[in-house]
Amino acid sequence: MNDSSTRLPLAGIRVADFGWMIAGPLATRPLANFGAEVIRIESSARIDEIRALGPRPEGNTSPNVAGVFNDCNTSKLSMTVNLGTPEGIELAKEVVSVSDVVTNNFRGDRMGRWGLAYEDLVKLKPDIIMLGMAMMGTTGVHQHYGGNGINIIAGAGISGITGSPDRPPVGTGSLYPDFSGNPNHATLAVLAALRHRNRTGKGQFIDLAQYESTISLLGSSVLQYTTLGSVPVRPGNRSRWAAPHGVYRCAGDDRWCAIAVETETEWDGLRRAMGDPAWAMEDRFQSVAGRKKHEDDLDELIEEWTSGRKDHEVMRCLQNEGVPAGMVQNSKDLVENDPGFRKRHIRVLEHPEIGEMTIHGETISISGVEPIVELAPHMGEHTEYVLKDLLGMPETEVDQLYVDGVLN
Amino acid sequence: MTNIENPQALEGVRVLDISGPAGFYCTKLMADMGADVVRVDPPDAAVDRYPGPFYGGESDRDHSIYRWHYHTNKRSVLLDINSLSGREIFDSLLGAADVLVETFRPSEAIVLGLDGSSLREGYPSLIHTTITGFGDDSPYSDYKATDIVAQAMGGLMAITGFPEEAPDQLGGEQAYHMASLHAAVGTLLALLSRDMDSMGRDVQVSMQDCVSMATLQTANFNYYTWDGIIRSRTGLNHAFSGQKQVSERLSYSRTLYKCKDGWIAYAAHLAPPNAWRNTVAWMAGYGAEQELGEQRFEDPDVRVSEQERINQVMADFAAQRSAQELYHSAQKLRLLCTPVQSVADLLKDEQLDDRDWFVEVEHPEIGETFTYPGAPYKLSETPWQIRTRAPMVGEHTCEVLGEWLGLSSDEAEKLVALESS
Repeated sequence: MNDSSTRLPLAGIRVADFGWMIAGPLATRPLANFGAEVIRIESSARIDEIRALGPRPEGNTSPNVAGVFNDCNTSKLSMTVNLGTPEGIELAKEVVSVSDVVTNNFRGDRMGRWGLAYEDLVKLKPDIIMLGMAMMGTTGVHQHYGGNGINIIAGAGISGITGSPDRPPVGTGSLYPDFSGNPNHATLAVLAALRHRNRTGKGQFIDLAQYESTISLLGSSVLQYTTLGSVPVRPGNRSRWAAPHGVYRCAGDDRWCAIAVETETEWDGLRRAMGDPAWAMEDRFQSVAGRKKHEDDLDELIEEWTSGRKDHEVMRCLQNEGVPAGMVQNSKDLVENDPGFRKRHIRVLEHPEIGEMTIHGETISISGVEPIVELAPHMGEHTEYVLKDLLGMPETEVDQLYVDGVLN
Repeated sequence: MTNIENPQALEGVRVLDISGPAGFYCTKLMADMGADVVRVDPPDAAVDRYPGPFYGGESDRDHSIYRWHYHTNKRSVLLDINSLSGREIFDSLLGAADVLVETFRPSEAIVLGLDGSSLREGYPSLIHTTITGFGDDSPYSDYKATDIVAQAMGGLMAITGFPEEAPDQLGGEQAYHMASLHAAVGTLLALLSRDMDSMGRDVQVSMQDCVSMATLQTANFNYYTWDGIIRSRTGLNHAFSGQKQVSERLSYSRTLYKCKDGWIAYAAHLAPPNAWRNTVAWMAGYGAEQELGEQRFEDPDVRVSEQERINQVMADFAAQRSAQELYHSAQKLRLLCTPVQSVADLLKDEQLDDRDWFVEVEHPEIGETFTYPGAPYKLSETPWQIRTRAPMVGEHTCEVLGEWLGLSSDEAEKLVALESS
C-alpha cells in the first residue's frame, strides 16, 4: 500500500463506520480508497441488509458476495460486534476512542440509544468528527421520520421536476439520492471538518439530513419560486433555454440518442449533419425562440432522421459537427461497448468465494496519487486485527468475547 | 442565520473559477464553506449565456436566477482571457490562487495552456480541478457533453422513465451536480495532500463516471456479467419489478400511489416482517386493509405472488386520502412513506421550518431580501453560510486585483482600463 508515488491524502486517518445499506457506506468509500483506515462496525446477529440483497451468484447465500455491497465498501475493514450487548457497546466506544471520524446513517435517535451520540463520544475523544446522516437530521419535529432513496427522491422534490407534465411522476429507476448528493455531500463535509481539525485541533458534529442534502440538488427551482412565484413544471427531456433538447429514437430495439443544441452554431451543425434538409431551412427554426415555439414539430422531424440510423452513428455524426449528443447506454453498453469508460472506470476484482466481481472504480483521479480500490471486507474479517493490534487486547480476552457472543 | 463570528472550514483557500455550468455547483460548495472563490466572467455576454428565468424583466446575466443560485458567496472579475492583457492578469491571478476549477474539453484546455502539464510547469503548487464529459483518454474525450448527454451516456436515463416511452432525464441538471460534488471532494483531498507536501496536483472527474455511480444498485454491473440482466425502465413500479431478484426479502411492488391530492412514495412489499405488519395496521387504522390482515400475507412468497392484489388494495387506500395525511400517519408507525412534493410544498414544510433551513439573502442592488435554499449539511463548528449574493459581473475586479496581486487601486484601475480598451 506504500508503493504509490506520494502518500495517499488520508493515510493515518481512521474512521469508525457504523453505516449500513448504501448512502452511509458510499460516503466512506472515497475515504477508504484514498487511504483512510475505514472500519465497518457491523454484526452478524443483525446483518447489514445490503450484504443479503442482490446481485449474487445463483443460490449463494454468503454475506460477502453481493454486488452492491462490494461496490459500496471497497478498501474497508470489517469488525463484527453485537451492539445488543453492553460489552459490545463498550468495544465500539474503544474503537471510537482510537478513531478520527465516526459515521452513521441511522435514524436520528439510534446512536443515542446505544449511548453513542456525539455528546457521548466527544467525552472519549475530544477532537472526534462525527457524521450523522439521518433522513431528517437529528433535530426538528420530524427527526424520527425514516426513508430510503425511494422516499427521498419524492419528498425532496426531484420527482416533481422529472418526467413529462402530462403523466404520473416517475418511479425509482435509480434510488438516486442514495448514490449522489447524500453520500457525496457527506464525504465533502467530513473532509472539510478534517481540514478544520488539522488547523485548529477541533472536531465537530456534522448533521446531514438526507432530505435537505437532496433538496440542495434542485438547482435554481427553489429560488425561482421564492423570487418569481413560479412552481417549476416537469420539463420532460426539454430545456427552457435550448432546442432541440431531448432523446430521439434510433434504429433497433429501445435505442435512443440524446441531443442538446444550445447555440446557433450547434444548430447549424445539426442541419449539416442531417444533410441540410429543406425543413431545417424554414424560418421558424432559425432561432431558439422559434424552435421552442415549434418544438413538437421539430422533435418529430429530427426523429424522422434519427429513427433510421444506429444510435452510435447519430452520435458520431453529430459530434463531428460539434453538436452535443450521446447514446442512451444501458449496463451492457457500459460493460462491453464503451472502451474508454471501461478502462477509466470499471474494475474487475478477484473474489475468493466466487471469482470475478465487476465494480465501479474510483471516480476521482488525482495526479501522482493512486487510489486503492480493493475488495470489500468479508464479514468480521478484521475483528481480531482491531481488538489485538489496535486495542492491544490479549488473546485470552478476545477468545472470551467470542464465547460470550459479543463478537457476532 | 449562522454566526458570522465562526470560522469557516475552507477559510483562506483561494479558488479561481473559470468553469461552465458543470462546475458551478463545485465552486458554490467551496464558497459556501468559506473559500474565497473568484469567478472569471468574460465581457461577451453572448458567449457567457445564463439561462432564464430572469428577475425584474431584465434578461442580462446580473438578473439570471440561475446565476444567483449557483454563484452565492463568489466574487467576480471581468476578464477576457483571450486578449493579451486579459491573459496576463489571469496568469497573475493563477499565481495567487490555490485552486483553479475549469470544465474545458481536453483539447480546448491544451490550446489555452490550461492542461495539467502546462499548469504543473508554471504553477507547481496550484491544484487544478477539471470536470470533463469523458475523461482525457477515451475515443469520446473531445465530444461535447451537456447534462442530458452525460445522463444518457452514464447509464442513468436507460433506467429512468416508463418502459413504453422515451427514457427520462432526471430534472435539475443532476449530471452537473454529481460531477461538481465529486470534483469538490477531489479538490479537498488534493488540498489535504498539499498541506503535507506543498505540491499542487491535477484533479479530474468525468461526468459519465459520476452519473454511472447512480446506477450502482439497480443496474449493478454484476447483474449483467453474472446473469445477463439488463435493467430498463419500470414506471410507477420498483426498479426490480418483474425481474429476477434472489433475495426473498425483496419483492417487486409499485412504489408510487395516487392520492386525493397528489402522490406518495411507498414500497409495501419491500417491508421486512415487522414493517409489513405495521403496513396492515396503518391501513386497518382507516378500516381499509381489506383481506391483507390475513395471516397468509405474512409469508413473503405470498406477498410476491399476490403483488397485484396488494397494489390494488394500497391504491384504493391511498386514492381516498391526502398525501400529507398518509405521510404523517405512516411515519408514526415508522413506515417509510413520503409524499411527492413540489417546491411550494417544501416552503410550507414543518420540519424544514423547525430547522430554520431556508435562509434570507440580501440583494442591496434591488433593495430586496430573498429566500434561498439552505445548507446541505450542518457543521457544528464551521457552519455553512451565505454571506453575500452572487456578484454582479465584474463587481470585484479592482478589489480582487488589489487583494490577490497587491496592486494599488490606481494600478488596478489602469490594468482594467487597458483590458477593456
